[in-house]
Amino acid sequence: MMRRLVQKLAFLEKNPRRVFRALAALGGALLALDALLWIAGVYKNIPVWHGLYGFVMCVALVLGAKAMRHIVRRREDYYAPRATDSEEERQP
Amino acid sequence: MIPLIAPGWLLLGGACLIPFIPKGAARTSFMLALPLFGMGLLWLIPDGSLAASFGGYAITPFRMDGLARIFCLIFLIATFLSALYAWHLRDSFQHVSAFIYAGAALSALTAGDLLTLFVFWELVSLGSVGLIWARRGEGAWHTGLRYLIWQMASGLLLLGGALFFFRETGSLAFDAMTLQSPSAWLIFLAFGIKAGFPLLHNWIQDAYPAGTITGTVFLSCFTTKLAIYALARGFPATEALIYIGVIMTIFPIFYAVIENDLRRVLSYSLNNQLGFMVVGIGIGTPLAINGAVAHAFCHIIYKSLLFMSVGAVMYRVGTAKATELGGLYRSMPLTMIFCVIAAASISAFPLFSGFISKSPILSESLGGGYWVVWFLLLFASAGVFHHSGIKIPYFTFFAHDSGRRVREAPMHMLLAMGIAAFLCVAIGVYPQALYAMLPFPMGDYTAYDAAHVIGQLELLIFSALAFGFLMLSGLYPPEVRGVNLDWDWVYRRVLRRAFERIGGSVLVLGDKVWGYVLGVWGVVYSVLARFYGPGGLMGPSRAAGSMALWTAILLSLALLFAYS
Amino acid sequence: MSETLALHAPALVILLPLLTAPLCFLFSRAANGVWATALLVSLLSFLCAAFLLEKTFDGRVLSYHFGGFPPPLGIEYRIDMMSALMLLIVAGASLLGLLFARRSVARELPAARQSAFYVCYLLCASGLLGVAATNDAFNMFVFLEISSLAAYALIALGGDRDRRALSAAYNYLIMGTIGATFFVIGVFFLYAATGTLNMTDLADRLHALPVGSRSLYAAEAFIIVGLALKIALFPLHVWLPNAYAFAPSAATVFLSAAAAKVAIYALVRFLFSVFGLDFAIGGETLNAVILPTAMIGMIIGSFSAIFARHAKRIFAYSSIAQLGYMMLGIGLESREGLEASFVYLFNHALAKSAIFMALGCIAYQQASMKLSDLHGIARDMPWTMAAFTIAALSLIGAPLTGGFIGKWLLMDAALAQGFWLIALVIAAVSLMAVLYVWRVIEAAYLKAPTGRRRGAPRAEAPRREAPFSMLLPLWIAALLSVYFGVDTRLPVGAAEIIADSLEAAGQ
Repeated sequence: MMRRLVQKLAFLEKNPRRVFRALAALGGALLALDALLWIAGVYKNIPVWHGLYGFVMCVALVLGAKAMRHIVRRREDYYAPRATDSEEERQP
Repeated sequence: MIPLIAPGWLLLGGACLIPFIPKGAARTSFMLALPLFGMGLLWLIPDGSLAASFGGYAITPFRMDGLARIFCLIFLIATFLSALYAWHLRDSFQHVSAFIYAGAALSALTAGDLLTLFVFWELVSLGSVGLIWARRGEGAWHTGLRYLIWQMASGLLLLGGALFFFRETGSLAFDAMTLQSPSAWLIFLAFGIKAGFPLLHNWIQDAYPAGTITGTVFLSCFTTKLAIYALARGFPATEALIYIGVIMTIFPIFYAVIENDLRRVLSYSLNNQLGFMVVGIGIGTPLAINGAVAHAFCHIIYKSLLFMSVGAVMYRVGTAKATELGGLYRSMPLTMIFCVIAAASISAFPLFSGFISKSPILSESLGGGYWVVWFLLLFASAGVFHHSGIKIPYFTFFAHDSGRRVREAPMHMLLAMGIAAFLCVAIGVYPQALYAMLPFPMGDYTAYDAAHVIGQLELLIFSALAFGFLMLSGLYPPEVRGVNLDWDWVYRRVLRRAFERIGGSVLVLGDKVWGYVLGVWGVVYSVLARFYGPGGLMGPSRAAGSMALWTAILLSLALLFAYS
Repeated sequence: MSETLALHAPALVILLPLLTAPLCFLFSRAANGVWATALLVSLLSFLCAAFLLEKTFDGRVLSYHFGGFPPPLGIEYRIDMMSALMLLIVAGASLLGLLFARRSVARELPAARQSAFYVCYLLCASGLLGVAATNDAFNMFVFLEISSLAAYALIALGGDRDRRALSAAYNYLIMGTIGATFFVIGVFFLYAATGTLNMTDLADRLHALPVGSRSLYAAEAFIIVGLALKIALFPLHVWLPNAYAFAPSAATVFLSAAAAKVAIYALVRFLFSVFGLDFAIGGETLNAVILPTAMIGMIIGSFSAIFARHAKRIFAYSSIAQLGYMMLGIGLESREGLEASFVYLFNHALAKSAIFMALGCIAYQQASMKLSDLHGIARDMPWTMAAFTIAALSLIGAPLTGGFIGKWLLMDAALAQGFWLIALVIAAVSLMAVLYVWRVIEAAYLKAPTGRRRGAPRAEAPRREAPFSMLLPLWIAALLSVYFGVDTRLPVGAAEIIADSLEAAGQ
């Protein structure tokens, strides 16, 4: 069973765009369901809000962090020898 | 009648016995039996408290109620899982440290007064630092010292707060307080350090990645959640906590995105999860407190599962740096599955444990009218998914193939991770069992209504889409080696440098000033010595002479006071 | 039987060692025989003290009239809670010290002087016991001198190992004599004014006198300064570090646990029971003198300890700081302060004697006590250093040790009067204790052993663990200092009764 799982994953790994497209389809379906339920009056949430917000904020988060890295990143041995960052990782 | 002792005391007693049991299966079985036995005790012990007297103060060394009970339960489960995970370990120092740590944390949960709380609060620090020092080496030594200083500072604040509190109220009882007196502020800060409040948080990200593989699993369970318990007990519905908590959920996710050391990513993410709990406590409605407690419960399981899976990788590969990993799903598929389950739980996917505990906090922030807080928490939720839910499994098990081919994690680690993963799913599928144990009745609350489920799924899927989009478009920042400066840069670098630079000149200046003082004193002394001094009569020793002079001065002072 | 014992125990506790000491000197030259006798006598004395403590625990006061002459004419031994607690501390320290002494003294002193050591030791113990028991001011002076003279001799006996012991003993002799003289001058002033030496009687008659008599001011000033010298209260502490550092190890153990504390007892006895706080030099003036000097002593002592390089001297300086704590509680002049002081005193006696025993164990194995020569010693002497660590934790005031409850009570007492600055100083000085204890722990556990000392031609014998007979009392003291940190009934219960009675007397 594990072997088949690994094979599947290896296939997906070679075709990342397929994964992305599947995700996008799922997202679209969710948006549609969300809108439908809202029209049917099942709940009073703002429709599609969560999806847009999640997408936009995630992109903003990553780009923000990327910009931040220019300021805060230092060499790995910056605090050495008083930190473990650059120490050999082998341990029991 | 079975003699009932507190589960924490049982673990502490057991910790003292550990070195006397031969290493190997006998000892590890003993260590596994302790928390199981503790759970039995927990089941037998009724609610109530034990009054005692210590040094003339009325104290409550043991108190059991709904809030303490559920925390005790999860601490015992975590002890069992962590001990099972550490089955292979043959290091007495780590064994004893870990059980003192867990036992002290449990005892602190059942402390009914501030004095007992302080005692175990300090013991928690002492036991836990052993798990960092056990890594051995200079870096771990210094990291442990920094960690210990923070923890001791927290202890001293608590001690000071307890003293002032006693003077203000005449009692040491540990119950809900309000932030209106200096004592309450001191105690609040003491809890705040251990809970990782912003600017008091650096010890978490500094120390946890420096612990041993098994030690960090222990570390991730107790210290911070003990602080969450203490806040829930001492400062429920304190509005300041809402804003503190929100900041805690936001800023660590930025660091988590760019951090290379996966255990540090998890530490930042831990800080962010604490923020959700702190917000829940700050809102303070029964449902929000329940949410915070349930979140702590689930969090301990999935966070330790994450640390376990990264630890298992570390155990096989020898590193937890994202730059060195990747493609490990081929070698360690089971570990990968457990890691994904933990990632789904922390991201609050429906049917996983995080979902059923985070929802009450989010709904209560909305219900309480904290719109901005709700927006930010939602952002933080997306961020959690991003760095813990996707980044950890992706960079460990997928991404570019590091070419490393190792064996699957050892059996006992798989077993510990399997149990934890089972709990994550079980709680997510059947939350009523957990809800029933919470300190307040949950009524007919359910996280599984259409609005919640669809909203959350949408948020997560679109966050994943954002990740995919950034990855495919090459905008995603690549993993690179390095350390990222956080607030601790101020004291680890700036203050240290300043101290070293200024220290030298201060010493020179101090020598000069001291020289003047000595010179003036020499003049005064010689004048006085002419009148009262030993002058050879008192013998050759200067010490005796100057002492005699001092005696004369003191006597004349006393007489002067007397006659004036 | 029990009644007869109760009747005579107050005298027995002192007379046993006092009379045995010269007998030993006359009849026995074999060190082991003298040691065994001294141990037996100390044990009996300790049992008497424990018995007395148990008898006085309900607040009862036992009075023993010497030779059947009733006070105020005859000499009275009066055992209340405070006396009984001091008797227990002194007798207990003496017992532990003797258990420890046999191997230590055999190693550190030449055979010819070993029996003299035990004789002086017994004399010193009986003198200190006498101070605690007697209710006669002049008798107290006599016992103070017995103990002091014996202590000078004990310290000087360290001269065979390190010549500096002789000058230390000499300094102590000069200062101790000045202190004793001041004390006796004060007592004579009192006698001249009242015509009595019995302290209970003195208190009554003093308060019948018109207020403002100059000679009584002088009396109080002389007695306070005289006793402050014996306590080694800052700035009269200079004799102490060298005396403790160069005395034979067993003598340091006993003196550090008992000597200065008995002087504190005498001071409290005079200040609160005899004079009362509203007398002559009023309570406010004392407050203004004792509190600052105690705090400066705490800070200076700790600083000196942090910068000392000789392990024994580190803890000698620490004693000055710790005595400052005890004086601080007395200087607060409140019920809580007195209670804290006595709890502190009790726990410090245990912790400090354990620490000096551990250092004595090290001294048994190697000549040098420099920190740089202690590197890695925990590997060679794990049991010694483990007990040292426990006792050091109590000295710092770590939770679940005796030191914690003492410091907690003291901080609480300071806060009760609104002196939060004093509470802060107490906390800060505790952190300084962490520093100087840390230096020893770091040397013992973390530094690699230097191996053969630089330039040393001969290979030294490898260090080994100290003998069991030395480890036993060390561990008893270390474990007791933890025990009394958890079960605080004895020290706190006793201190409460003491504080109550002193407060009642001081009114």
